[in-house]
Amino acid sequence: MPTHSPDWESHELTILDVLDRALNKGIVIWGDLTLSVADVDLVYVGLKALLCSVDTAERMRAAALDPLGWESKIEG
Amino acid sequence: MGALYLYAITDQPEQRLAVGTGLGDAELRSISYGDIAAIVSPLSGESIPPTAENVLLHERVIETVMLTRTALPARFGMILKNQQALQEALAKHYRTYWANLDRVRGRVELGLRVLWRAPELVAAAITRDQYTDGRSYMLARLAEERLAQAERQAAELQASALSQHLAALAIDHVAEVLVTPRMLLKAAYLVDQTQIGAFQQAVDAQQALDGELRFLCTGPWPVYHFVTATD
Repeated sequence: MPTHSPDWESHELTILDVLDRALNKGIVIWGDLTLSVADVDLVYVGLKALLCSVDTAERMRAAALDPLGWESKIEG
Repeated sequence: MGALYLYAITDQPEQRLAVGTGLGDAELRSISYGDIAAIVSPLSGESIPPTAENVLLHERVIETVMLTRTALPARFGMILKNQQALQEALAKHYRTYWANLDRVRGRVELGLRVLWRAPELVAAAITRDQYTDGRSYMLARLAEERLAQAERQAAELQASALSQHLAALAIDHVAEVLVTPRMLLKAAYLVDQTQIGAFQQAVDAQQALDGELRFLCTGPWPVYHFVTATD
């Protein structure tokens, strides 16, 4: 797993960065997808739930790490 | 062979894979087309659930493949109906894949997030009750909007300067400014493997210059942001 700046070495941020990349970027071969429309919808539903939980985790992590208190308002 | 789950397109098909299994504990295979190859595993079900565990495993396979080959990472969830469909896709996009492989060989992606203390909107508490008439209220809102625009422009200039400074160490980069109010810059850089240390030092130097900003540098990643998606 990629390394991170020491004070942000958290599982939550690793997942966030992985999601940013693996779910939105990279080689796409749409023409041969065998996922049905329902399956694709399911992927997006699952993705949304996953991102929400990661977002929450990031906020909690930021709040715990931030000595000044201002990063507890991070939105991302 | 039935449906195949795609992890990456690579060069050097003759190189042995350093990892054995992928999603669903299925055996990884390298399927060649000329001097490129697709890293796949047979799909036992009809789809792959988008769980954190599966996405992380997808990523882990690609990172391990990168140890021995140049790899173009596939987006999570790419499934081909059979080996023939895969071969046809490789043939169709061969030139694009090869050009991409040439461009990223010996290079990695580094990620950067810069967080800042976004200025509070001084007039955020404006309410109609504070004003005797609609005109003065609308003028106050207009002033508030102009202030917000000025702050955004200042932030964009600051983010652009930061990104350009770091881009000097990169082959290519992509950057987004103010994706959220607190995230001044979100960027990815394509960097020579030999420049990873220098890039991190440049990020540290920027951090030292401005204590109001917080720099989060991650990587090395597969080159997700620097491949041509195709199709």
